[in-house]
Amino acid sequence: MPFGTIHNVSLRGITCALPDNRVFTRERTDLFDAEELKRFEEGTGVTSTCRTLEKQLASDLCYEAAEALLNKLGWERESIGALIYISSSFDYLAPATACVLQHRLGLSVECIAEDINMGCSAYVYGLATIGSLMQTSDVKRALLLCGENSSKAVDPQSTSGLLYGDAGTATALEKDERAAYPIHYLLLTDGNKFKSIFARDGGERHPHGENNHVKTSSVDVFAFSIREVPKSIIEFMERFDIQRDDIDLYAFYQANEKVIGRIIKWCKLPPEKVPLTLTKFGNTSAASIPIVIATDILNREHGSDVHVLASGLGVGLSWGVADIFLAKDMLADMFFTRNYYDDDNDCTVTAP
Amino acid sequence: MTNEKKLEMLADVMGVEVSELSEDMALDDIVKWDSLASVNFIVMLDDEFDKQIGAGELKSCKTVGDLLGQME
Repeated sequence: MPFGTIHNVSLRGITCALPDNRVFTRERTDLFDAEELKRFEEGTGVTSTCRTLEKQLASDLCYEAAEALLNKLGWERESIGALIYISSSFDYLAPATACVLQHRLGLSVECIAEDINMGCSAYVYGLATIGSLMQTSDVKRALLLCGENSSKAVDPQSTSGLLYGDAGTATALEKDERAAYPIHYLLLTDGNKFKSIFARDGGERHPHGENNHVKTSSVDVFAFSIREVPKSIIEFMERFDIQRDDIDLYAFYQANEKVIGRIIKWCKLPPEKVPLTLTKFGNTSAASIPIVIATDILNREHGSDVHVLASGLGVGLSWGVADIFLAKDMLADMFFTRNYYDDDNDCTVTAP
Repeated sequence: MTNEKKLEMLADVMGVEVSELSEDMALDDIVKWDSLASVNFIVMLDDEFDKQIGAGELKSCKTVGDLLGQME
């Protein structure tokens, strides 16, 4: 079983950027009838989402989040040794979006920059990957950027168009010999189910087809999730001897209210430690877990450390569990933005 | 539990009136038997009957009567 432990790496801050375009589920009467919208809202818990503006991409939101985070931390751009961008939304077929972000953020050439293609499991995979990279290299500071632009990837006329929201997040990590607690992780994949969340066309295998919207076999994924995620969480907690009371915050991917309800039930978790952000922001896929963490930190009374257990399952199918220890002075921030990148003029533009 | 009671629960899961359902009705003919209703059904089975059903098992249900058969 691929369990892992990362020593001497601490999280210093999480910033979340949301598109300044909040859309309420009940107002989508242009595409759905009112009764259907009410039923959807009751069935999923999603009352609104933030959707990217016409020219805004996931990388734009991640850029804004990273820019704000670096400024708040007062970190020199030259000090960042790695940037990993994880998403299902990429700017170009080539190069990696991480390279574009490295340029836009003004980071040094002495910086590892790479993309990982993941959805709801992104944050757990990202922490494991970037933490491992830091532990085995000279990199002292790193940025993990997780974002999604699902509103442009799914069919807007399907209920997926109501479920998914867009967001970009940035997490700052630093090598820390005095880190109080290691990062643990468990990563899993079931590629037999690769068609369960699937955008068939537009890649090299089917370049000219028209099925380029991401389609989810929601019942299959739901049934799989409520079986596998609780099982993995319990195995993870047993392996690392973590008791339920040790955890201050259970930060789960925000698939829908019912999935989270099943995880609470099967893992016997205290519901008050399992916040929902999907109510306001929908399923923000790769960005969900950092949004849950940042929201919780912002709502929390300062002065205590926070032990987080995170878990996400998504496209792949791919899922994982991690626990992280956040020091009481860790930064958290969340804001809305209308900014996007104009690549012709190499500048950031604010949409009217 | 009586079949009438189960039928009421099923109607609730689908968001329809109980009078709109009968045991021999094909699920494909019920507009409200969609992914939301399927998820509601899985949750209801778990909560009320302490029973976990996989997606394959659910797909093999073709009629309202087949769903009622799972509710035990």
